[in-house]
Amino acid sequence: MQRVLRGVSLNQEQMVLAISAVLFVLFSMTLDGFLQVPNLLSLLQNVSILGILAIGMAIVVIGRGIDLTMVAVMVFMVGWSFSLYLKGMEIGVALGLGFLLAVAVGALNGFLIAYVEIPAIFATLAMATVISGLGRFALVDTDTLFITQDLGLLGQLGAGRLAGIIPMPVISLLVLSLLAYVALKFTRYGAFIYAIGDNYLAARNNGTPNRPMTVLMYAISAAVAFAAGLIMTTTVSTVDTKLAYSALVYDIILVVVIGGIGLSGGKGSIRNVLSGTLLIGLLLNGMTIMNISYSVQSIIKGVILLLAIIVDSLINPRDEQTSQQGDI
Amino acid sequence: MKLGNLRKTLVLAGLVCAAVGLQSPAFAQRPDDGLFGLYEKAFEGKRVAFVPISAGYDLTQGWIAALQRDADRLGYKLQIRDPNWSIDSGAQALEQFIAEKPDILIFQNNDMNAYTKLVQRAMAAGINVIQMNLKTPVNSDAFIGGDWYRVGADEAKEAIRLCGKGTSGKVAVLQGPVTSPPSLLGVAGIEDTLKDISNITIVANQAADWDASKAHSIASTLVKQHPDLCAFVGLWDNQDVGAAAAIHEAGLQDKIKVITEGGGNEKSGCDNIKNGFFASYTKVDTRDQAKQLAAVVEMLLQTHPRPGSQPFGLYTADQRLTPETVTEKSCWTVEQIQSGN
Repeated sequence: MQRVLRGVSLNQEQMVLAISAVLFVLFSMTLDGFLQVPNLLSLLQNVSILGILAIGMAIVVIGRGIDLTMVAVMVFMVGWSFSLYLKGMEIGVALGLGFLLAVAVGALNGFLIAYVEIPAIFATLAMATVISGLGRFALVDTDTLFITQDLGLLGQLGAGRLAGIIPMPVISLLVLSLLAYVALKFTRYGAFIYAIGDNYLAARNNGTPNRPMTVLMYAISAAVAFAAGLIMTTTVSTVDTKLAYSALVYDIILVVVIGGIGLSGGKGSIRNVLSGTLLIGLLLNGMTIMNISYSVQSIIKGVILLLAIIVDSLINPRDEQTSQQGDI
Repeated sequence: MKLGNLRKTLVLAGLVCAAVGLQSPAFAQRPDDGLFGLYEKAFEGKRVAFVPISAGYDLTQGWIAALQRDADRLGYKLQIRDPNWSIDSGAQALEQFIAEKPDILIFQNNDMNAYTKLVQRAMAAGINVIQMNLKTPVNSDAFIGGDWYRVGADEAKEAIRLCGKGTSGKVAVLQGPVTSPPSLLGVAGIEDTLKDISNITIVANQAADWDASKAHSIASTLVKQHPDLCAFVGLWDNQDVGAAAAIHEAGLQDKIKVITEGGGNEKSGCDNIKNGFFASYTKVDTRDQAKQLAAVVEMLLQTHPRPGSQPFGLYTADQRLTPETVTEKSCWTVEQIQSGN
């Protein structure tokens, strides 16, 4: 099986794009109203927040980490900003404070992982619970905040359209993707992240500032989570802190893994995130149009995640290095 | 001897003074109406436990406010454990309470069947059990809450009214988690009501998990798929604002209506009716439920029936709100319930 897969010259990203292309053609032929510009735009819009979150997650996963706090940071930090705003604070100040707290929490995640040397999966799992608990206790006093005021220009971030056509969340996804792409491909810091993810010890021996870089990675993923939360809030005019207890964080990992960014780190790029996002978008859109029931949708999503992980482990088999260092 | 007498006299005088003067109200008999003494005694040292789905949202905050007011007024002790949307933590909290044997156990469940066994165990342990707003198939001492089948049927009738002649008659149903009572019973109410109405068709039935952003995604896809859609029939305002936002974004607010239901919170309910997000709102008033809950607790603490021996229900009366009928007093805020209004 492994040999067969390796014999095929497709890498996972190309495979995902191929599957997406097949689905696209299939849906276009069988589903009325699929192949129309408004539907395709809403397809993109519906996964843009997921895609943005996946960009943050991808950066961390490339550095051989994982950030399970993203959803908690997203809802509680943005929620805190908006509850300050609803209590009368200037919106800019409130968002600034929320953003700073988000980055601080991200840096704390990084600190726990890099300096206290707790495995990322446990550190962020515990921190997600801490953030949710603290958030409920001290930051946001209700599960759902309703923002019925007009937010003006800020509201356009979620509900606006560029040139009256392209939804702003899609633009945000593209802009953030571009930024992350450039940062990972063309800056020293990007190279550091790949080096750390590829081989932590070798990177350190070569003089990569592993620990500060790890702190930076998690601060970035928290900042990205805040941005995603802001867009989500301005799209639906509510902050729903219940999301912190939902399976959304697994959907983010799903996008990253499906796109072909190996969980063992050091591989993949933002292009993978975009192709993973596209596939999920196509599936969600198609399943909604076909009116497939919720339980069946969950089964389909779960099976796809499982397939992606199997393919990932066949294409990126456990080797000497992973057996020495373990997975994330 | 003399001194001793004097001391006795002084003590006696002091006691008499105290009784007649400073302390006199305690000695004065309250006119006995035959019940008040028993009533007052009924709450002494009693404990009432509450496990909501989450203590942090509008409905539960309203109920807790009413209970807390009565606990302070009557002198029973109110204990709340917050499972924060986790069915497992809720089950643990219930187990813990059953072991602690409060006089009354109140709970609200987000999954119709999850707590069925625990209800029976609590009653077997001699605890009176009240189910709040979302009922399990097992009866306990009391149920207070929405009649979700009728709520669904009422919403379907609104769909018939709003999607009559001149419209496509197409409606899309947005439910919450599929195992939650308002989804299970509400969807049945909608489907049964629309079954024989030939000009209305349900073109989609999707679960948005009480999540506004999921509702937004589903709605934005559906409005493109069915541009002639007449209405969304949703089952909770907190979730359906997302669908309304998607319709607004697509500029279709004049064509596609959102029919929803909720507890009547000012922010999620009336504000969204006034700004045109919701065309019809079936209110299952949290204020009424909060008052009834406090009253049922007051009664059960006095009567203490054998658990489950005489189950009764207080199904909340629905009220329809539309942009035309909504008034300043149609909705409530948690602060108002807390202050007793």
